[in-house]
Amino acid sequence: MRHLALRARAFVLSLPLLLGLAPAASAAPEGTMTWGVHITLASRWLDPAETEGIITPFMVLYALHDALVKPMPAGINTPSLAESFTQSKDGLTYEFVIRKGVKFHNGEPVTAEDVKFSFDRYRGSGAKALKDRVKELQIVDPGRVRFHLKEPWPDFMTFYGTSATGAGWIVPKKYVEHVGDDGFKRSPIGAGPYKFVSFNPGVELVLEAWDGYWRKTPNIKRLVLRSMAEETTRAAALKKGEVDIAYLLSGPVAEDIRRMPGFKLVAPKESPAIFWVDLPDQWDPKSPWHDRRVRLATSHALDRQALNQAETLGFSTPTGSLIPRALEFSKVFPTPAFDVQKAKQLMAEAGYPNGFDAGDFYPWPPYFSMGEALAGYLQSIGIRTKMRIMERATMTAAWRDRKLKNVIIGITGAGGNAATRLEAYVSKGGIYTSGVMPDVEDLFQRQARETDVKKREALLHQIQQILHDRVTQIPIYELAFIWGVHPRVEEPGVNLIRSFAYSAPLEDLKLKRQ
Amino acid sequence: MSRFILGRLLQSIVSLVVVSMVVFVLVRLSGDPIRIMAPPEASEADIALMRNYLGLDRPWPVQYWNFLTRAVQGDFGKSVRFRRPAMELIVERYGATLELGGLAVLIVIAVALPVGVYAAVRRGTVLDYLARGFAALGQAVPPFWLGLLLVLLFGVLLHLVPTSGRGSPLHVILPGITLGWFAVAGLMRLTRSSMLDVLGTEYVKLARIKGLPERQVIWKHAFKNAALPVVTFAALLFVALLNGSIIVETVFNWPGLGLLVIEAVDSRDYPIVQAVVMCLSAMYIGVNLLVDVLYAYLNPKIRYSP
Repeated sequence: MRHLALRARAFVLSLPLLLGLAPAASAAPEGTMTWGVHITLASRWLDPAETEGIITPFMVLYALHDALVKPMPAGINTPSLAESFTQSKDGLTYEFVIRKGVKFHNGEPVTAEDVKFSFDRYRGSGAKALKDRVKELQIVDPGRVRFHLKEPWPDFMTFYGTSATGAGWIVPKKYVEHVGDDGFKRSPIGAGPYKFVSFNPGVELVLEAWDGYWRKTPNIKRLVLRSMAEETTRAAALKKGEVDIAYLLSGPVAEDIRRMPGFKLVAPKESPAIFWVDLPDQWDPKSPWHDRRVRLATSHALDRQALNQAETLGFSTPTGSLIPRALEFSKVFPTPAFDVQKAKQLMAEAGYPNGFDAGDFYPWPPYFSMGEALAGYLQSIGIRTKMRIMERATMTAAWRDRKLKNVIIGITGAGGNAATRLEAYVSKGGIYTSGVMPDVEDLFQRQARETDVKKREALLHQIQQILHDRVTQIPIYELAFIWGVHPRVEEPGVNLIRSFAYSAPLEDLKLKRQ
Repeated sequence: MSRFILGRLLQSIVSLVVVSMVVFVLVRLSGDPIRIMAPPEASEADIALMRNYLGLDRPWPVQYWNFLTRAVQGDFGKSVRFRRPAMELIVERYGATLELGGLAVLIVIAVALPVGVYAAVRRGTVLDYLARGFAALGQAVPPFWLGLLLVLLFGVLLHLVPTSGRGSPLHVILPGITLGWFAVAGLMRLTRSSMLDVLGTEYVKLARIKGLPERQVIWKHAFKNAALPVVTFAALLFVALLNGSIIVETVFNWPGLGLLVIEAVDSRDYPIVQAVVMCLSAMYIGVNLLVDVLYAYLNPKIRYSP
């Protein structure tokens, strides 16, 4: 067995000390908190094994399930079902010690067998990347597991211990084997702060506080997540008090809520979601977009602050960076100035004093009003486009399959770090990459092998500097995800976990006493 | 009569088969569902495996035959999004849509019949114009806008009814009115014109000459004869309202078939889309068949017409 030269790391934590929490006696949970959520709740989100590469499933996972390590108020890799984890000096082994006494909702203890089973069973986002690199998951004893990697992989904890994937979220082996995958989705059992009560597909999910949760007994007895696709319906339900929190409000609807006494609008201070203008034609030497001056002119033609005010009431953060501040290894660049004169001058220097026909313009669904505004900014310097509206899934698939040309409004809020973000949109193997720069690709490959954090950060910053200098993407703003909160909510759970889009940790939420 | 029924039955089956072909082809033309189901970094091999598992790698005629033979047994496959049989989800949501459609039909009948009759009897008066204006407004105002106005007024400002969802009897009032108002106009105008036709007939004049009370002339003699096309229209209206509930269910977050199919279209959940379209089409065709048979029973001349 490999000798573990364990090095003391800051992340070797004793959670009660870190959080200042002890399993102290608390008042019995009471009350019901209801959310009006903007998407249709899907059955697969009840099962961590099928977690997609988006943040949405974690809205449910933080209630029903728990992970060995997950983002919490204390940090991005906070031990949860694990009481500690360690990394070997050579970066080839990670060992997790399971917290003593932690149980699933059916009373069975969480064991190393469950951890191995959950990992082996995981088939969601990032599964391939993880399984390609993990040589073996060894059960050392019932309370300890050890991951052996094929080669050092600096992003292991990003993939296993953050919301980049759901691989570290633990399900009960015996129960899943007994009821099967479909049975598990019908009646999931986890180790999270809330137990499953009922799920009406596409309508609502009802959960009830579990008094056996290791961290603390939740304050609120019942949680209801209600799917409400229409923004105005969510806002009306919030005003009427039928829901306590309405996710994703924007423009005049949000403004209306802000004017109501006692109601408030909140948004995570940092957002992993970023909007940018993507220009796949720039790699074609015949295209006007191939000229850096045209891309820079476009950047200066955008009034990001006005757009932010109109679309998200100023909650978003205009930026000049492709990687949002919330992600590790991001490099912050100042927001490009809104300067139409300069933009026109650059267009003239590039040989396009009267602009050009740029073809199709694909706004990101459902942010069509934002798309119209952006097309207007382009028009102001003579870049003429035709708006092409698509359904979101179709557009995503078409973008992935390189069927979209001309001008695309891109957005992503996927978890991870700067490297995982660049991998998808810039690296050679990226699923959305439209062109590869050899120098950037070389730096990307080097950072992927670099185990020294400082050196890796320098490499990733170098990549971001190149992208910024060459204006390969035109960042717009870090999108604020605005919630409306009813006056009876004392603690909505915003900003407790850095840059997390939804209410969490759910056991910390509070309603005002009636 | 049995030959007539058999002929109509065969026509209905042919219609259903055509609908099944159209929905089968359109759903597949709208895009590849595997691209939605597969995680972004799924390899081509993974995608091929999924496609094989779901039978989507077979030729379209084979896929269609499998779809048709299973659909006949009520098996439309499993929802991509919810991983449950599509038919099971439809059965769960059906009650909500029936409740909404039922109330809308009641509202339509309760408003359109008396107002239509009254407008015919008082033709050319202010009340006639008002009634027709009310009906025209119902058809002119988009249901989503009307729904939002009703929510703001009666839900948010007056706090009389819930703004969305399903639960108590109060929940169905606003969506029922929103769905019903649009159809009031059609039925009211049909009632009015049908009544005007009947009011000019000899037997109505005779009833009046005989000195029968006006109420009796209108409701017992005139309305009874004017009601046949109205009843037919009302029966078809019920099915039409079920089909038309998609927007209203979305605005009011009413958990019925309309909301289910909108979500399914968004997520390209093709088993659900196919199942809902087939079920609603079957209902529409079934009601049409019943109306045809009823007509033939009531009017023997219809049986012998080509």
